[in-house]
Amino acid sequence: MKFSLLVCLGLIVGLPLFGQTAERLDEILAQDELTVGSAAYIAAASGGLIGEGDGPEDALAALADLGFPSDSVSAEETVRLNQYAYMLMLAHDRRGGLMYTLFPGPRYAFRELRFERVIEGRGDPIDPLSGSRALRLAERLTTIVEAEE
Amino acid sequence: MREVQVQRRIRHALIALIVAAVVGTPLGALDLGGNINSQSNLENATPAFRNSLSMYLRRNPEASPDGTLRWVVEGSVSAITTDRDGHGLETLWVPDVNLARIETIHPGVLGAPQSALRTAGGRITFSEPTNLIYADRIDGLRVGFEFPRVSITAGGGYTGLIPGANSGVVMSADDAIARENPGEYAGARRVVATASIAAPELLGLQRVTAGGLAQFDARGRYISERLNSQYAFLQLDGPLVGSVYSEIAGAASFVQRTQYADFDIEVDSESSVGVAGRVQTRAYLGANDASVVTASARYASGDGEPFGAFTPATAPAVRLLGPVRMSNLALFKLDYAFRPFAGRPGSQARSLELSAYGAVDLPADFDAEGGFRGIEAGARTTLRFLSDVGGRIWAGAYIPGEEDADVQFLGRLDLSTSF
Repeated sequence: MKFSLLVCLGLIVGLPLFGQTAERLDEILAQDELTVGSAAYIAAASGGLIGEGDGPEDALAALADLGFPSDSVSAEETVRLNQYAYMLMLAHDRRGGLMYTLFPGPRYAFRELRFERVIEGRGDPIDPLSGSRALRLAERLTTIVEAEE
Repeated sequence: MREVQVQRRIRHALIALIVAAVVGTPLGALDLGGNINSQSNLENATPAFRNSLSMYLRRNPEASPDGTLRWVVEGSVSAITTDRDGHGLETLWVPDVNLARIETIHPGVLGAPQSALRTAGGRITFSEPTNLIYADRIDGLRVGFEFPRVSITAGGGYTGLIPGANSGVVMSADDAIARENPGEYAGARRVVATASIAAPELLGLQRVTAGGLAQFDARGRYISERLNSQYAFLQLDGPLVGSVYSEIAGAASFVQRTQYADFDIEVDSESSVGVAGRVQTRAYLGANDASVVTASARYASGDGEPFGAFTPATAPAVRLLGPVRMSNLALFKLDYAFRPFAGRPGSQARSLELSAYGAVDLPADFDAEGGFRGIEAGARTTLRFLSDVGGRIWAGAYIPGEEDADVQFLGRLDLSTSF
């Protein structure tokens, strides 16, 4: 099973995870306000950008290679919903709408994931999000990506 | 003179509201965006176009248990191209402030658990719950007191600063003439106030809402007719059984009309009581194709016995060929919509919606000879090509009941994008 799927399914349906990965995911689930580093870890893991031994720094570096502006944020600061949406869009190599294609970034990534119904319910782009919500969003997007394949 | 002063004060209050909101907001919480909408109509053989560009600036709030403040200012420019007087297409440019709204939500401030105080002010969308009487924008205030078992809403405002071309408030012949006059920018000048109380799950799962609305003609002197009105309304809505939902609403209007000669001398005055009702049942049938069937009936009394004409403030769009005014009307409509690819996550075709409808149009006294007005049938196709680009094609035909009258056709193409 791919590491990305293992991470998502492990947390959503309770598959057993061991070692460093399980500890990291327990830590993420306990966060009421997810940090940028943890968000990058979930996004990158769900998109298959990192392996089992990698950590949040590796995830942020992998996303930076794809265009995420990691220089303007620190791994410890609270992530915003639109920033996380951009991480997910990059990690899953999503095409996006007209404006996302022209100006890729958190603003249009947020709108795209609303359209895809990955982000549901009330929520503003600059809202913080909990670890469990971030995992649910990653799981929804992974399901859509797999349905398209 | 006094009316001009009031209009100026409302305009200044709106501007002050906008400036205070923008200045008091950190830059990172601001969101600037916009929409482009294009509508092309072909009514019988006559084309008409409505293109608009709107821009908004809003504050994205951070959710807080102590309260939330959000605001939005949205302006637009519309180019409305029509053949008004049979001399060819002419374009009317209409600038508008679509919204200038400040909203606050204060959870728990009313003392009870799960209670909230909600306020909204500025240029806001405004309606009473039945949509039989008023549904439009207004320059005013709305306050909501929400408790788990009951909620109370009250609000009011002025309609006279909204451009006539974009306003749905048409209560009299004077309002209609002003709306069609390109030289007259402002719409109907009326003051509206409403209050309602709603109790969720009071009758089974049905929510019960009751309330009243008052409308005052706010034009100054030198008019040919003054029309004031008051309304009482009652509505039940909620799930009926399974995935079937219903809405039943009724309203009564109490109207006072005063006619003037030479714009100043009162020559006639009359009062009338009208009634209106609406029943709608909506069934969500299929999980895979998201089929929805909606059956609805509307009734509004006309001039006669025992009731006079029901006189609403705005006209709801229940048909394609022009909005239906809720007066002297019995309208029965059936609408079916489905999304054939709704079950395909991630597919662009997922948003494709196909729908068809039919409506029978009768006067309120439909037993009377020649009571049948006509039948309308139409179909719509809606698709979002991308998350921010969408379109819709509508086509409809209205077959009048009169033998000599021509069938009316309308085709409409809507395209929109957001940025």
